[in-house]
Amino acid sequence: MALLQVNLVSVQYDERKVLDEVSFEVQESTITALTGKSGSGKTTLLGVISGLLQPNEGTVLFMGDNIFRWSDLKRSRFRNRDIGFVFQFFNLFSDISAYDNIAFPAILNRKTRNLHSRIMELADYLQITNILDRNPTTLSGGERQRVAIARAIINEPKLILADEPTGNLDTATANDILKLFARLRDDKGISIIIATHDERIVKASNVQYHIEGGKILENDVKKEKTKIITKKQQAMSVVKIKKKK
Amino acid sequence: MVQYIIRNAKLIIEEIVKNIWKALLSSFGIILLIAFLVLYLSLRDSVTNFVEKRLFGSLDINEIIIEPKAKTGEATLSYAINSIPAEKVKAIRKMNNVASVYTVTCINAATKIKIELLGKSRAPYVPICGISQQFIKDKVPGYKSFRYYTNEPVPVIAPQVALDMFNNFAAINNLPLFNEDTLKGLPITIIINTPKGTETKKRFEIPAVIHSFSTLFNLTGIVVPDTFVNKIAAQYAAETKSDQPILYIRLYAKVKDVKKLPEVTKQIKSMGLAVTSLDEVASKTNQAMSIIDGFSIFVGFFLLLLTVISIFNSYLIIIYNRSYSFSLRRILGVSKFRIIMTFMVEAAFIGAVYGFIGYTAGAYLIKAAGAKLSSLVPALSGIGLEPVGMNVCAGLVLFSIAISSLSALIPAIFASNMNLFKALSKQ
Repeated sequence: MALLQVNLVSVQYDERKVLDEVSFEVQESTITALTGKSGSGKTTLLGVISGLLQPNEGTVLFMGDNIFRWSDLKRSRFRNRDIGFVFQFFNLFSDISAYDNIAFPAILNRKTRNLHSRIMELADYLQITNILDRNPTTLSGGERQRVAIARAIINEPKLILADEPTGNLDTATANDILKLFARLRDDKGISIIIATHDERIVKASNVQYHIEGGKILENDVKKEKTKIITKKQQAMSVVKIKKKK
Repeated sequence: MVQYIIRNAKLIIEEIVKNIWKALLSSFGIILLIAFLVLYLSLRDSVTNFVEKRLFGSLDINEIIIEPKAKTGEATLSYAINSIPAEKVKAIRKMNNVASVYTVTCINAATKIKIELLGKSRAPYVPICGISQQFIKDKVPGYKSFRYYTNEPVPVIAPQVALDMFNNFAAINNLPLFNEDTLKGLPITIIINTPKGTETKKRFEIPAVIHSFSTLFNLTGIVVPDTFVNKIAAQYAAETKSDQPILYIRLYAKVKDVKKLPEVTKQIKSMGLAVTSLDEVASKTNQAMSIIDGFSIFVGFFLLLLTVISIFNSYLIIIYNRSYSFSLRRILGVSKFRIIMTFMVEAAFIGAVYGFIGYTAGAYLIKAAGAKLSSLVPALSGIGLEPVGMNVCAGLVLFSIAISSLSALIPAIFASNMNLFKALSKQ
């Protein structure tokens, strides 16, 4: 079973359809690249996958469960425990230390046993041990992104959603972050969905989905083949559930 | 749980300190509203106490005052009144439900008392009534000395309000306040002039002395021994040869069973007499209070509306300013309920602190007003303005918490539903 199934998801703002019957799957221990122009709906799709944005139509199944049938509390727990977020602008709390930023989701998850040793282990893994007590505003972009990644994986999630994670970094640092994502996939078995313009990420990913005009085009990098998924194909494993208005 | 509350309180205090001006502006309305409520409740309490002490205190629950009726239907002390006929007094005494009846004999003439104090002389018109010593037995301290002896100053029981008037006079002249003991024994002069329209003009000037102050009598004037009043009436009749009575009587009656009060009142009224009971005093007082209440409710509602709108708007701004922080929390797994609760707890905390500040401000104002009241508004002298007690303070703080939290509820819901990715990308 796929870790995540997005089935015929449509999102509409006023008259404008941002996502139009989008369907795709994410397998475990893979990196999936979501590409597309600015405003194509990549970030909106991440919002839907994380359960923060209810689609007008369609379903999102996480390990077979429709996340929009869950209560807000359960969806919040799902975001906290099963998903990690990494953003282009890092989005760290600027009034607390890097250490406290990393600890925040764990405290929220009430998973505080051995928290210090877990943070130190992660810091060692991500090579940020020497900056833990510093305020995020005093860190470089690469350091901040590493802190953000540490925060994203402190609760050992199954999936990381990354929105343009290298968009604000220089080439060398971006390469480091990419290698880090690959390590997370290989070492910890985490699946990563990355919304990006970065060709290097596309090349490093297992699967690429290109969004255009609210629709998704599949580009399996390994097969080097792009095709438009037909509605018939999209209906392969899902039942379209129209959202009651 | 305790840790959670302490952590939240710490965060809230930090947040308030960080945004102290915004917080002050947002909640200034609460301070104003609570201070107004303290002023209103304190004033109402003080006035009610004053009325109860001065009016209700003069009557027991089962007592009534019976007076001749004027043409308007109200009890009166005007010169054209009729006295209560003797047969009616007898009839009242014989009523089954009436336990006792005391007679108060009032002088139906232009009476004054002349007071000389600190080199100044005043002679205001004051009604004079006579009562028996028996009437005040065990009710007025030193009642045994309340007796009239010819060639000795007439003992006078002055209403408590007179003491306030003396003190008002003292306050205006920057003198220390009087108490009952300092004024006891103060020599005064009773002046009685014949009523207007009488053929023979007669003026009596009788030396008197203040015996005591009392709230016992529901009278606007002074009380003297009835033996003195009867003697004056006899002297007046002899000297003027007038057949117009100078005296009229009013009765103090005690009803055996308080439940029978309406029945007795009705019976006596049907005899063409005016009756004053606690019921009537209460209804008149309540009428006056309801006007004050109505006005205060209007002002209070207006302030409440302003407060709610200002808190609501301020919270919308606060939410905009903090949308980044809340969006990030939501993304990292904080539920909508917890976001709403965070706002509500914060608003409740602000409500509690500002409610208490409002109470303190109101209490300070009422104390300051109390100190100046007698010199600023002499008519209100005697009303001891005191702020409402700590139990009311607790109630007002709770009210403030409720108002603050409810005003923040809609903005909080709005915060929990905002487009999180948009809010994050705004930073």
